[in-house]
Amino acid sequence: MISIRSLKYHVGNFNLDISLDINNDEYFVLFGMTGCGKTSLLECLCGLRAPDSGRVFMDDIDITDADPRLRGIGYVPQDGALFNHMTVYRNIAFSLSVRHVKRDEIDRKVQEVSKKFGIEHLLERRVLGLSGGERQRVALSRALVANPKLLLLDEPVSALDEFTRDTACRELIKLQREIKIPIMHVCHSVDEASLVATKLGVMRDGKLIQVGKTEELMEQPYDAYIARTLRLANIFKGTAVKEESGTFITIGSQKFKATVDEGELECCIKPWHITLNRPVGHDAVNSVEGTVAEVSVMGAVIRVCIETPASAEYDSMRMCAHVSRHEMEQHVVKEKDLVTLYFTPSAIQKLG
Amino acid sequence: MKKSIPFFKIFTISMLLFVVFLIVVLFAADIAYVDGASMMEVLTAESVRQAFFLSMYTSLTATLLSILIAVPAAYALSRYSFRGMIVLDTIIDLLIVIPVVVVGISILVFFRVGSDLVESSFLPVRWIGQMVQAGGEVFVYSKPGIIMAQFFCVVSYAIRTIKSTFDDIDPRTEQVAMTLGCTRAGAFGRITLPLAKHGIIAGAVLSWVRAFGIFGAIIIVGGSVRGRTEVLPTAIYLELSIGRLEHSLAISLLMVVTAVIVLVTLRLVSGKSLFGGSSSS
Repeated sequence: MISIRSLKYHVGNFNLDISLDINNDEYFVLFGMTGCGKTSLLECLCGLRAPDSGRVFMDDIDITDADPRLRGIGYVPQDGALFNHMTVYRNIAFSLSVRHVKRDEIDRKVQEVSKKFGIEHLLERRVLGLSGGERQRVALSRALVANPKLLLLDEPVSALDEFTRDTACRELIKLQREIKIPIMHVCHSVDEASLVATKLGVMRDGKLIQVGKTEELMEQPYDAYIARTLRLANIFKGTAVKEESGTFITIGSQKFKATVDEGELECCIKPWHITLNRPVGHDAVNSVEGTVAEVSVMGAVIRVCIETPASAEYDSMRMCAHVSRHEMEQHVVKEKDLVTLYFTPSAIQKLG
Repeated sequence: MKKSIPFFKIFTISMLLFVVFLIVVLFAADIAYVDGASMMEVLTAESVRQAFFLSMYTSLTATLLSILIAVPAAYALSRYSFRGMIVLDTIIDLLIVIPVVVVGISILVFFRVGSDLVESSFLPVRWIGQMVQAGGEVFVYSKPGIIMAQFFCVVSYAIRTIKSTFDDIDPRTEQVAMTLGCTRAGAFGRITLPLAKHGIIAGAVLSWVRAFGIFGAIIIVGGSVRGRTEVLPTAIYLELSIGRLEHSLAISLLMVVTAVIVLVTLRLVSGKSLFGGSSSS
């Protein structure tokens, strides 16, 4: 288990301030925009940057001031940072040979870890010329051969093509279950994060602003920044007013029933809680009628975006729904069709 | 569709062939001018033999010293940034842009001014003066002085060449090595140094070639005493000054052949171009 207690680090105007616990059975994904401090945090944990204050504990042992080589942390940077002048074998064996482990023991461990990652056939190859997936496996093998207590992965699959990336992500989950050490995985892809994370943390300007399970963050993003970072659609500004039949939010020309407090607010209408309906004319509460502007496939679901007609007073409103393939087959929707989207009041999530 | 003529490719290759042609013509003229008798006379002359060995000894020593200093200095310039770094960087470049004659004069003046400090009434200054004076006796008009002049003329080239190699090596590899059990120095020795091998060899070759051919600074600091401080460039000058053009050309060709042998040998050993790029393309 790793515990980060008020870890502070600054460079120029940028300030990092992090507190976080990751258990041995957790696969933690650190998520955030470029420049939010993800890599700086990893480097502080590795000991490559000295924090201004705060402590880092590994299994209750304070490692804040420990030398990087003594921390027992496996670090895999974005491109793997393999040693190009060595063979795959020597790359993997590096940490063992540095520690003067006996030759037959090195050989046994290298064989073991390379077998785990399916790269035994590459051991005598030089690193230059390996594919992206092979490089990633070699980098992981090298980081894991000395049995680290924490694995830090800085965008480990970002250089891979989509298919290889998905496979690699599934292998990482399997790996975490096998080795049972905490993994901190930095990325800025929602799909990647959703695939591997048991716990997700979103960073902004050097601070972790929300930590939780992926589903929790998707359902209840803390604020509009997190909602946008998680690529959630349908983020609107509006005004909530309490009426006799309940609270209603006015967004442009539309008025929706919601379960929120009164006042000016920013909200997200979660796309997976929106239902598509045809024919037009559905006059239920929380229904929006518009022309289909986009139909795109997003893995198992189909994203359908509609635009309401603009008026002299209000701009057009764009709203997207994540519709199942079955639902799409029922309605046969194509661009420029007139459809109605409707949702329950609980689909509206107040942000901030 | 009609295949277009690769004008740009033709232009660039033409320029390459043009400059190679100029170099070849230049040396061809030398070869044409030198007669066999002069060449034999030069090759068998005791003074030329001594000058050759002194040139090799001093230039190789200066190269070794400059590489020993350039490798850590270039690493510091490449990896660390702190207030005043730009000033250090500029001072390193200074030795590249000033004429070598100025380097020679500066060395002489340093020992002269330093010796004047001996007369100071302030004891520490007097000690410094005594040390500089003793240094002057060792370095001025002597073999160590030649090495010193060559060192000052080549060290900046070595630093620049090696720094660009370090710049090309991702610092992340060293950082990963540190997390895998290395100290910073260990990471440098196990990772950065082997990766920079070709750049360091290139820096050494550049330094040696320059040290081997320096004239201005050497004649000022070391003089040109036949059999004592005469090196090949000063021998060329001495032969030319007494009107023996064939002999000076023969010595020049000896220098050219030596340089070519060293460059070709290193290229064969390293298996690629020393100054970047592959020879196989």
